[in-house]
Amino acid sequence: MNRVVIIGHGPAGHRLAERLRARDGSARITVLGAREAGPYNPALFTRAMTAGLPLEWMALPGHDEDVRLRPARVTSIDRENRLVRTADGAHHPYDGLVLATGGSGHVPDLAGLRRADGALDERVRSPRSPHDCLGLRAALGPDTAVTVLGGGLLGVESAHALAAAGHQVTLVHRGTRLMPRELDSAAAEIVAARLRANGVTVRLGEIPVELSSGKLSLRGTEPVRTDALLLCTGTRPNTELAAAAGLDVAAGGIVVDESLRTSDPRVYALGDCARHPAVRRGTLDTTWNQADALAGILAPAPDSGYHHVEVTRARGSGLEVTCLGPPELLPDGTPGIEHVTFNDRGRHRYARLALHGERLAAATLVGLEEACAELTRLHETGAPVPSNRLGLLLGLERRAETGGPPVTDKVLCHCNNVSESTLTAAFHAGAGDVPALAAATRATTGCGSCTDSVRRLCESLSAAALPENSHERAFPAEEEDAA
Amino acid sequence: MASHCPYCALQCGTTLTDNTGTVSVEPSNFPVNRGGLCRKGWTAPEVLRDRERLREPLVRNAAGRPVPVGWNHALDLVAGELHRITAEHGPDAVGVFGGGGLTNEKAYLLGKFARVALGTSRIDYNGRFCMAAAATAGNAAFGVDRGLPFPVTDLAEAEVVLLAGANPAETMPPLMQHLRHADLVVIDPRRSATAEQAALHLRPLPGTDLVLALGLLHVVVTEGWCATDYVARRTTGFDRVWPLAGTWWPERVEQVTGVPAATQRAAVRMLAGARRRYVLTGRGAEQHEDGADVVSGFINLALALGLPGTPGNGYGCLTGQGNGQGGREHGQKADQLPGYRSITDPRARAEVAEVWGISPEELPGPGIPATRLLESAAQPDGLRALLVFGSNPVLSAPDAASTRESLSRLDLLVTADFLPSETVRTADVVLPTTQWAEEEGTMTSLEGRVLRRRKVTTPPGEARSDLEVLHGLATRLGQPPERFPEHAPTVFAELARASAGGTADYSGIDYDRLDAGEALHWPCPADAESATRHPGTPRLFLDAFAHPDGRARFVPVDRKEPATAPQEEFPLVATTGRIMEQYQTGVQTRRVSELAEASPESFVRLHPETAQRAGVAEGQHTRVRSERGTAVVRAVVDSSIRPDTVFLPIHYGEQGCANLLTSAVVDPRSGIPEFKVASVALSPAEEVEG
Repeated sequence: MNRVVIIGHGPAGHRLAERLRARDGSARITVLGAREAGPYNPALFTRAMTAGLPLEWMALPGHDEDVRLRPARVTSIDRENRLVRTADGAHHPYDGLVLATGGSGHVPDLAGLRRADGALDERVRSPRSPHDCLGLRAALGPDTAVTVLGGGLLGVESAHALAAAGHQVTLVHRGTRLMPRELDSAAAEIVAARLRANGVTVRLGEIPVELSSGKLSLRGTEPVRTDALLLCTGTRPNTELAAAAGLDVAAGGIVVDESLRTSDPRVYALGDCARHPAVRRGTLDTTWNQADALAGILAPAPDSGYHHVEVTRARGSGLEVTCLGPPELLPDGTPGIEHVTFNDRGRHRYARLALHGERLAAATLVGLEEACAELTRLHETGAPVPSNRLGLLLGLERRAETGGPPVTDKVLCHCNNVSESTLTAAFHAGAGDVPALAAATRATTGCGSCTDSVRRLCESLSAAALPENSHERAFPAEEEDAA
Repeated sequence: MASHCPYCALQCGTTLTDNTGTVSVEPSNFPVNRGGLCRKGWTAPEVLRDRERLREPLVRNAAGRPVPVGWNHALDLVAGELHRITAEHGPDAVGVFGGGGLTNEKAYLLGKFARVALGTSRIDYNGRFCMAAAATAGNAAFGVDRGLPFPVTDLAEAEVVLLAGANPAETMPPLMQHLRHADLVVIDPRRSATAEQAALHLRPLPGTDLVLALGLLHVVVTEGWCATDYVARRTTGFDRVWPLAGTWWPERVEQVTGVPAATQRAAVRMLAGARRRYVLTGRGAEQHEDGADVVSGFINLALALGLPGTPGNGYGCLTGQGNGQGGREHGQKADQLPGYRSITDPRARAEVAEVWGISPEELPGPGIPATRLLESAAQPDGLRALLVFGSNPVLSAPDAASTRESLSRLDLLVTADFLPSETVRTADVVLPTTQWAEEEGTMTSLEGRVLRRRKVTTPPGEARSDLEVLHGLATRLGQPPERFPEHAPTVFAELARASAGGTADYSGIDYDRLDAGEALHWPCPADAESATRHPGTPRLFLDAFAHPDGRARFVPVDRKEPATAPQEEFPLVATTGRIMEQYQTGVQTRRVSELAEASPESFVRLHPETAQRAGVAEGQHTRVRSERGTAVVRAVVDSSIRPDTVFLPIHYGEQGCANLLTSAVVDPRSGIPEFKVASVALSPAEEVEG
């Protein structure tokens, strides 16, 4: 498709334009709805809250000049004539159209969130906006109390990051389980314990009533001291344009097929605005993987197609939460599934694996660093799961196992293949210190890491060579390294 | 007599003694090895008296058997054929293939021979298979490529050293004594001997090193370790690099590389939290289809931390071959003239042409990199003849079966070597040469120090120095005899002049200074004005980098989409590398009885789970199959390797040749082949008798 029009210049539209450009130099790419600055990299926003990463460092890479960026707002899509109209009166014909309109943060209906003019109160911020994150950072003082509203993935990540940076944080969540879309109750408990251990006050099953001066009131219980409120209450897909154009739209977004195609074969959608049949929990990773795949579909490559791999990996040092595959395979009694559970409450570690034969069908992992890495790879490649489940989960030290008979004569110097018996023989032949042993056997002359062992052997041989009643050393202790 | 080990780029100092024809070796107190020497170095003299040493020129007779002929006959025949092929097909039908084990003098004269006597642009060398990625990235970042821009001994003061894809505990053991006091952070898919000594081991899936480097840079910046003042004062380009690394947060990197996010953070905290630290790369990071990008990724990391050009800190590449450094500076590389100068730079062309006594117009332009050069032997307008000096491309080039097939199409294959390597065995004409202890010359070690190699014994039979061989051929091709000197010091003096003004300027170096024991690191320009001679440059970049603005450059790199998706048929990743007992393609070391006994044959190292699934047991012959070919090697079961990865050493021939599996895909920036990633499948092979 020669003329590709992309609506929206968030992380989805940006990535698609970039990949399409890299793949197909002849494609004429127009991005509508671009802003003067940005777009920004959402992966860096929590760092902006905690470490003050400057705004310009959060920008995604610039496009090459052949990508046409148009700041105009889109007013309508004319599918019959295959063109997009913008508020500045222009129209943009397309061979392929991509909706990358993203989602908007949901603002709950809660007293005190908005000012009289309808705008959000200045204490209320969204972790989805880089400006809000920088604003929050500027507002944070030593005693500032931050309340994170919402216990989904973003709420958990934000609360964790703020607490790790030393701030006073309360996480308020309506449900009784954190990350309810990803975690079962046992895993959710462990995540809550991790957050608490990290200094977050976690309040579950609490209904917020009103944000007022310095506090967030909760129904029927103590209010939470709140100088700043971070809204992590979910997002809604931006589907208005698609609906107005008569494309199929459902509650979760613009309906697309496996290949990200909408109900119009010339129109595609990806990222937060799209509802893909296999995607349960969209993340930034998902969005970018979809963009990479869609570039291949639009600029036809032999391997075109999008294969969704369901991975949710929480961001943050010490959080270590990974969810793989569909969570409905995790409960007991799922037919054809063998489960493995590891629950180490004391150390806030948890694993639940759903195995289909030798393959990993789904998993939830908390606090198991090595296993997060290993199992994600296994999940993505479909490779068989090693039979040593505990070793896999705990990342047990992998010792080199060499086959063959047990070693009777230990090799001390691997570089020169010098064994204990060779050294002993050289010692008895008169090589009484490390330099002499080195000269006689070449031991210690390679990487030198055996020098201490050779010295110890030499000392024990010296001691053994002494008459039983003597306390004198037969040889002076070796002070220097082998020359 | 003081000399140096014939093998790797560490060039350990040795003392050689000739006892009526038998040479013995002792390590000397030279700074890089301080009395150390590895097993290969100790046993090197055995190669001098190997019973298969080539002693006389051989020419394949009508029946296809190599038969001894005299030097005159052999050289006349080669010169005659080269003359004919050049006349019929043009000079570019003749190719020259050099090696990183050749002395500086040989490498220089070989480049001159190709451009002046043959008039061909078609010259390249086996360094393309090992050093090209680091060289390209080093030049891009610093404006100069010297493996270590500081003396090896500086490493002894380090608190933390990050080794990306380097295994010096096996490949250059005496280096380890300089790393004894440092905490090592080792990046390697397998638990190598070096990883065993590491404070922290990162075990990425082969082929994901660039993503790991980007991820480490991400942590440096987001955790506030970036040396912003250094970046502002001494570098350019950070603003284009950071947005790319910004998209690789640790948890995303974990998904691609398999290295836990927490381990990535720990690595950065160790490195960034120390006061004296180094980042070093080796072939594991470099030999990839994005090899130059991987090295740029690690250099970007080092720059963000403010290491290069800061005393007590730095970035370096652990050069592999004995003269891997000098061999890439003096003109056997397709795009280079002596002094590490570009063959497309008009000024360099004019200056070198003047030294060579020709006009700049007579100098050919840039040639093509090694892999493409060898492949072109199978193409209609490609090579008809190839001269191979000190290299064994039949084993060392990727996709070995195709390489062998391409070379078999040549009208003429000539090899100059001292042992019957796999390439020598396929040659039409074999020219026997001298080796290390039988000749004079210089080598340039991984720290850019120029070293003297000395003659202590006489070569066997009629073997001649490569310089004499080139002289003999050049004169037969109509060149004036004085243009191709046979005397090493004379060649060196000319090399020094030709390098004057270049990046690797040797013009202030001569044999007298080297023989007096001076430690001379290039650049070391001649200075006629000054009464004192230039002391050489042990440490580069302390004041400025070699770009015109004096700044280092961040180079924007990001992961490219893999060319081919993983296939069901080949579910494992094979990666290749080195073992302690062998060197390069093993032509020398496989003949040494002690080394051969320790590591007699090739093997595949694999995880017990992987072995079990493939139905393979410890010690059993195993078929390792890729899209290119099949190797048959013994299984070595080892639970320290990743279950999705297998390892094969590069040192063996025949069915054990690891390059039967690799592909000829090369890095577009540097021309280095993808040696470290090949998709393979395993199955048991019939137990071979014996």
